[in-house]
Amino acid sequence: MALSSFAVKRTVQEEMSLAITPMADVFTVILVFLLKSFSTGISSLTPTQDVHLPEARAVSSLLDGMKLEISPNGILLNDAQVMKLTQFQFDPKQLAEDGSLKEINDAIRKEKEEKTLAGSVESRMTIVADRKTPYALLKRVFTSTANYDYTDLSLAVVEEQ
Amino acid sequence: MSAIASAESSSGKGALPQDCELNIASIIDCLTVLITYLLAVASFISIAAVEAQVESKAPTISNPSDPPPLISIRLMPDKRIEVSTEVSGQAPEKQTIPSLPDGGWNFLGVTQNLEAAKQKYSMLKFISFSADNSIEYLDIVKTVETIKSILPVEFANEGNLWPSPPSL
Repeated sequence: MALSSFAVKRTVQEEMSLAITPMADVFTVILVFLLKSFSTGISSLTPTQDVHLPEARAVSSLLDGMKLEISPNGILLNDAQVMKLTQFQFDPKQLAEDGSLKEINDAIRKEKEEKTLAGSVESRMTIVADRKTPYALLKRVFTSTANYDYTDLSLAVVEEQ
Repeated sequence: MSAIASAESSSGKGALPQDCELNIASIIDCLTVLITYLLAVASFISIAAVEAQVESKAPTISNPSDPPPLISIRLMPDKRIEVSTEVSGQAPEKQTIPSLPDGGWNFLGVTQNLEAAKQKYSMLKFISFSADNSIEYLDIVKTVETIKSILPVEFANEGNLWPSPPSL
């Protein structure tokens, strides 16, 4: 009896095996979810890091068109930077006579010429702007787009649930 | 012996049992690659659009002697909304919709005003929109979202208003 209390306890070795079948089940569920949310085209556009889109309820789906992105530090046309800003402020020398922005005018004109050569005629422009963009900048951008007949605007927003 | 014999005879003489093992490890590899790719392209926020138009550079008037009525909305910095009505043969009217007691935009007041104008002027085709320079894009989108449920919104092309560069 006394000896039994000093007996060395045997360690039981346990073998661990990976349960692959439940892992396959989990992966299948995750895959189905991601496939459901997978989509192609402009509806999957991703704004840059410093652009926070406003929210809206009564929305329609995004349509194809040229994309103009306005962030605090610059304006991008089809993901290429065309104008630098400093906290939405632009250089007054950039103003054209009609109140539009010269660099935006040049960039839109070049894109339009390329599209015309390719036989594509469109009047739609997708505007992806930060929620704090002032109207002082927006109206210049709209004037620039209207100069080249891009009069149909799609204002990108985050859909409110 | 007899049970085994009957089983053999029903499945075919000399048929051997077949074991089929599913190679789950390869399936896991494929699923891992697919999931990694889809995670990289997945968009977890739903991006949609609010439709609007901008006034064209050289607006054309189909019948200059009888232009259609024009209703303009302008957002002011103190959350007031100015509604201007221009009808051919009448003096322009301007109405101011004050802000809500909590300092917010009075979208309900604007909606009621525009509904009344739409019923009064059946030829109304769009609402012209403009704002003070300091108004933020968020407020503009909220207003456009409210107005477009009544009539399409057209941003005023302020380049058409001045012959000289407008002030900053």
